[in-house]
Amino acid sequence: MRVAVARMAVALGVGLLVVFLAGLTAAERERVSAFEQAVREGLRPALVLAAGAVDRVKGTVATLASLPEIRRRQEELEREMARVGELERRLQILEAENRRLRELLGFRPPTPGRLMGARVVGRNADSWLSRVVIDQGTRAGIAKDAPVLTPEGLVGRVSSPGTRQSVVTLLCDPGSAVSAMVARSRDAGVCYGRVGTDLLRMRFFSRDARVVPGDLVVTSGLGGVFPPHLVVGTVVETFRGDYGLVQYATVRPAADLKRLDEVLVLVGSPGEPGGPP
Amino acid sequence: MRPVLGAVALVAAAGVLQLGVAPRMAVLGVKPDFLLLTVIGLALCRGTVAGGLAGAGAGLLEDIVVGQFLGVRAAAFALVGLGVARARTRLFGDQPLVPVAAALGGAALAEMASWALWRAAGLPLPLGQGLIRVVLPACLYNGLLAPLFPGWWVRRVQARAGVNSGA
Repeated sequence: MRVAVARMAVALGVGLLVVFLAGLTAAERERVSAFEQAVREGLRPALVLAAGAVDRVKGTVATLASLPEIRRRQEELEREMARVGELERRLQILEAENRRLRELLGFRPPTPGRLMGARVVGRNADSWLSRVVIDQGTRAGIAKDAPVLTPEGLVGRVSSPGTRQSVVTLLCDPGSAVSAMVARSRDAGVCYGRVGTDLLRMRFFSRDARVVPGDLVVTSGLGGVFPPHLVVGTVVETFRGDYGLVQYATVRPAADLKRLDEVLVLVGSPGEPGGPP
Repeated sequence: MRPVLGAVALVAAAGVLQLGVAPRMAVLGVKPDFLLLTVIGLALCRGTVAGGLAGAGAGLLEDIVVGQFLGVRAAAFALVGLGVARARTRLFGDQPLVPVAAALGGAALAEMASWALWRAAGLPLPLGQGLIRVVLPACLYNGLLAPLFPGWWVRRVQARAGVNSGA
């Protein structure tokens, strides 16, 4: 009898807790509660330690396995460096010319913000959502919705900033949506994530969008969350939806969303998208 | 008091392992669920109440660290803890494949309950894709890891804790 009552109490207690917590946290919040903050802070050292240990083991194994490849790459990079040096000189000349022309037209470019490095110390345990935990938070100037990138391209946005660690919702999360456009034709749409795959789906606003496999997709800047012209990925295939009324594309993200070890967070000026409030 | 502290420490360690290490052990995008396996282990060894509470605690930990909707994984894992312990006493008894069946059924129950609650909260999660890409792989991976809890070990812990294991 006592066991049955205890079982009932557990079931009822958990049920009530779920209803209470789900109601409390149904919408995305600017800040997490003190209790959540305390749990995250408590786990932080262990997560950082675990991530560091795994990265060290992976790094050692990878280095040993790829010594001949590293030698070949070094020779390639030396050749590449010489080419990049020449390109940089040309870029400086073009930048100076661009600045002069902007001044002549009175055109003010948007403030690009500051990039801050962060380490990925955790990832969501389930396979439904795609979120990672990074080791930087509001103390370092990170705000909700700050864009997160790698040198290859956009990764996602900060969805739950904590004091010293934050949760990043990746582009391939089913709840993620990014205003994007095809760089070549400037046809705009929305890129959204799907369950269990890294490939994104892009839904175009126009049914006659001119898009072909291989096209580069960048952020459009609409919606105000992401600044324009951040690389999202490359079109893999295009197709039409039911009745041919809507055009879609499958987009492969430029960043490898499955293997994220370090990321860059765009910390904007106060009041700007991605910047602290 | 000691068994409670032991269970809390176990869940915390499994949480660190799950959030920090398991994603780097993913095979074809599927990762093991150490938190789920810990809940199943505790449910098998310590019974319904401990299983339910361990499930709620483990799920809440996961919700807090990476979740948006607090309570979703807490509810899913609590169901697994309650369900696995109940099924063991009612259906399986002491059969040797109990841990494997518990891991398969527990993974399916946890993923389906999570899906239902996230859907109710408004996340667009299609069931068809989810079954193929999430539920089946999770059952398979966790089922393969289930022999971490061999039947003889479960019986020994149960005997020490005084839990009724019979059918």
